[in-house]
Amino acid sequence: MNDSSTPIIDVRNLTVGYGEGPILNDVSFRVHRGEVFIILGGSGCGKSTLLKHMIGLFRPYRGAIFLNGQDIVVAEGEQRHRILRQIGVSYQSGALFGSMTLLENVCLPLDEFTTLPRDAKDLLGRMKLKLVGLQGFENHLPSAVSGGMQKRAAIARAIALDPAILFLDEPSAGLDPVTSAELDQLILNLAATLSSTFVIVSHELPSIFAIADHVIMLDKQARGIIAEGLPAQLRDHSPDERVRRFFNRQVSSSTQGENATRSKESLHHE
Amino acid sequence: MLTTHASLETLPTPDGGLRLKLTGRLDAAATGAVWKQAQKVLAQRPSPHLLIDASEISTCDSAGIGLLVELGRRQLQAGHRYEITGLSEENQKLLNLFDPADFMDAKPEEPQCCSLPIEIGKASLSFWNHLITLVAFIGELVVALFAAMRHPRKVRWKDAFLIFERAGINALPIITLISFLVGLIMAFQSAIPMRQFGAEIYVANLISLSMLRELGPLMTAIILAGRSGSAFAAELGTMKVNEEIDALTTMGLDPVRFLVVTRLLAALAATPLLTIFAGMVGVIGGSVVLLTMGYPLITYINQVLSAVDITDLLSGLAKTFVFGILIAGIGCLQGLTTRGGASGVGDSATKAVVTGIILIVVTDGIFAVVYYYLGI
Repeated sequence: MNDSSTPIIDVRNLTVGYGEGPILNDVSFRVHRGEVFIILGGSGCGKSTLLKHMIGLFRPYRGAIFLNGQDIVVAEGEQRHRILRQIGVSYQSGALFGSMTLLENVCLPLDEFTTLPRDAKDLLGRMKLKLVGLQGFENHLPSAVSGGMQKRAAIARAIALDPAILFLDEPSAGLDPVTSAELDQLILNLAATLSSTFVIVSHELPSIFAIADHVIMLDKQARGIIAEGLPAQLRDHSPDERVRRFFNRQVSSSTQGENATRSKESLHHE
Repeated sequence: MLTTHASLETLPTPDGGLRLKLTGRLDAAATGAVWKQAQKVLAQRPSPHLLIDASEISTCDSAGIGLLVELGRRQLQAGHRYEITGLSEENQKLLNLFDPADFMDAKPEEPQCCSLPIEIGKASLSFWNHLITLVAFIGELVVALFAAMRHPRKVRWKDAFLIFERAGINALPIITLISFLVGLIMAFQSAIPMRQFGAEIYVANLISLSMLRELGPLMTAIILAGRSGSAFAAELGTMKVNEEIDALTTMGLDPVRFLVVTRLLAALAATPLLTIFAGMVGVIGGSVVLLTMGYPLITYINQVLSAVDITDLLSGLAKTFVFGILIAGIGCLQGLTTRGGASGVGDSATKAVVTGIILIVVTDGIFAVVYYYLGI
């Protein structure tokens, strides 16, 4: 099962939606062990929807999602819990529990799922917070720290149980460039030291170029993957105009007076 | 299934030190037992030089690394030395991220244990701040209400009607149920002793007087405090947490005018109407008991009409306006002063109901005394 050649995530023919017709149709892709895998695309293209189905929050219309060899779509009861124990998720807004301190937030999964003694859990919690650079903020409430710190604390909580796969929903959205770059660095460090696989939803170009090993790009009209590969390669060599536009931050010709904007944009890039 | 087993061996070294040998899988499931064992060993046999042999560790996750950090920390705390040998390269890389010296203090800035003077001081300060907020809120509210009276067109009547519907009309079923049952039960309980004196018909006086003057207004107010006061607090509290209140302020819209005045007007209209309704239903509930005892309905009605007059009804209604202001005002004030996240909203809703009910009961008592001296 831990064979490093098999993909850790294998999504096959996935069709998802929220009861009003599919948002994504027949999507298949694979994520290999240790990769930083980024799902990207414009607003409303179903990035977060895909992520939420991959972590088992919703049931897809059709298709299978194998996480570490087990299909989370059909798993029930104890088997499902076993799969969920192998993943960690950090949500868009952090989703830290507001009535608990950062340390208590991180220690919660340890409390519930391990038999470690009290001070061991405490030390582990503090080590995780140290790992994300939050030493000294153990006893702060989430509302008392900044947005970037909340996101880092959420990552610390997600890695509390050493998950094989870590899902991050827009980790750097809404952060200033410096904090965002720090977060990218943190993700790279964690990927290097924890040997976990990262699945990240993002549309922040700088962070995509900085951390991604492999990306897929979703599109609203196509309802599926329109590009897959390395971000730099897609930016420069993609045959698809939508992909190049995304990576080069160009306005769609159908929504803007083409000439003026395009010429200005190309001047910037030359 | 792989074995989830870890073990610990202790061997004395020639130079009087101690050698700990860790074997097996050091993961979150297995480390717990070894952790306690290691702590015991270190407590029983303190050693100036601890040698940790990690060469037999098969797999190691962050719990195992945690154990190594813990051992290091304990040695450093006691002023002793330690050495880890045989740790695999990747685990060494993980371990290097953590310096046991960083975790020396048992727990950083532990919240202070409470002491009586500090607690009293904090409580007084928060009471004082609360009082200031209250005065400021009442002031703002009065200003906003006067402004609303001067320019009635500026009031957001559409919002007020919607809130009236949610807080008033939608409360009809529960008000009906409770008033009917209270009327019925009270009539039944009082009819039993009164029967001994052949005075059952006076049950009508008792029910109608108490329902119109006292119980109707009080019950309605308490139901509204629980139903709508908490809803106002939770709604405004969530808006505050989501920065929607801030958004209103920066758009130049006064939250008190925009949110509180509409709720206050809705409550002012709903409370008296619901109270009249509650009194009526309560009297109907009482009639059921007398009807089953064989009294004709017309007798009951005549008895009720002879027992109460318009003063009773109005004296009951006068209170309800105050109750309405209290319910909406407290709910909105608690909502607007919400702090923190989800638990803050919960606190606000609780406080809105508790403070609301206390103030309603106290106000009712004051009205009773005033009515007594006025002879109403």
